[in-house]
Amino acid sequence: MDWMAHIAFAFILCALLSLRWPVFGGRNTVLVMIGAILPDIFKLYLPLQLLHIDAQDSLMLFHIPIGTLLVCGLCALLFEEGTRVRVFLLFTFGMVTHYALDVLLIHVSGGLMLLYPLSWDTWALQLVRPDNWLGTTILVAAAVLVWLVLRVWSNRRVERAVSTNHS
Amino acid sequence: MRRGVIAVALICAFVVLAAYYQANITQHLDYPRESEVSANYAKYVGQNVTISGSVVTTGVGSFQLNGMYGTYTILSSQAVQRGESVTLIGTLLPGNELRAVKMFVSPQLWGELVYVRSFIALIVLVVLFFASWRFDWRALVFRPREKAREHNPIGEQKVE
Repeated sequence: MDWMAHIAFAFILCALLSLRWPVFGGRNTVLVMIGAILPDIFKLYLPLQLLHIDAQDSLMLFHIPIGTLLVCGLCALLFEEGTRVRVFLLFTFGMVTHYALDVLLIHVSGGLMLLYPLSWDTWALQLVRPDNWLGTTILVAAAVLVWLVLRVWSNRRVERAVSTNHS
Repeated sequence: MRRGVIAVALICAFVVLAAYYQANITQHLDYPRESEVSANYAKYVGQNVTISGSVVTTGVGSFQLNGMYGTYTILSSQAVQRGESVTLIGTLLPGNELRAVKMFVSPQLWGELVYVRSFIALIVLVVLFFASWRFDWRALVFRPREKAREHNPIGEQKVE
């Protein structure tokens, strides 16, 4: 699934969750969105393939939850002390949204190796084509809609608060 | 110092797990891949293997697929077009031939659009990130921008 679908899905979830838990809102949303594409660092194997370098197995750990968790930890270290645990958890939540979408994909053989190194079993629900554009379009449209609705709702809340203060 | 130690520990754990994966993955595959086949073609003749690549020429009842390690003739009644990406499971025959058992065909345009959409998403994400966060070169850490709230995708920020 493409990155547009992944970040739109992460945005929608964060926007809705932030209504109840503000930690998912504001500048933290973008951290979840980054977490949502971290597993796809493994796709660096594609440009390497053009150079006839087969790095798929070497980079695959990026696209396995245990590997992505380690990358989330490394990325969280780039943030200031005192915020790192929260940043790590936000990246991890983004990672979970990534695998939640990817498990829907059609694989000719295999699927997601979710429990490596405990198990080599793979999972795939075989529902969505990896090159699917309709799913991305729906997710992006939903993200825009959610953003607009929350924007209007937030503005009205501010206006109501201002008018209450004046009266 | 503590940050460096944790970073080294995480990198070491990653390298160990990646090396273990690379060393053992061939024993856990549903079907051998092109890399295994190309290393010992004769061993896999008659077995089902999986190959990916792009269609280079088409014919009646067959087409040629350009994989990473070579070009294969695929015997299949399914219609494909030149340039399409194909991933298939097929029975390996002598002479770089496969009889397709199961195929997934991706039109060239659809495949290319995935990269276009992903590139646009990456640009959007970088802009959104640096609207909210800045890199402190002295401490070598990302810190929130003071006026990030104005640029936030959702607009509310209550957590610091």
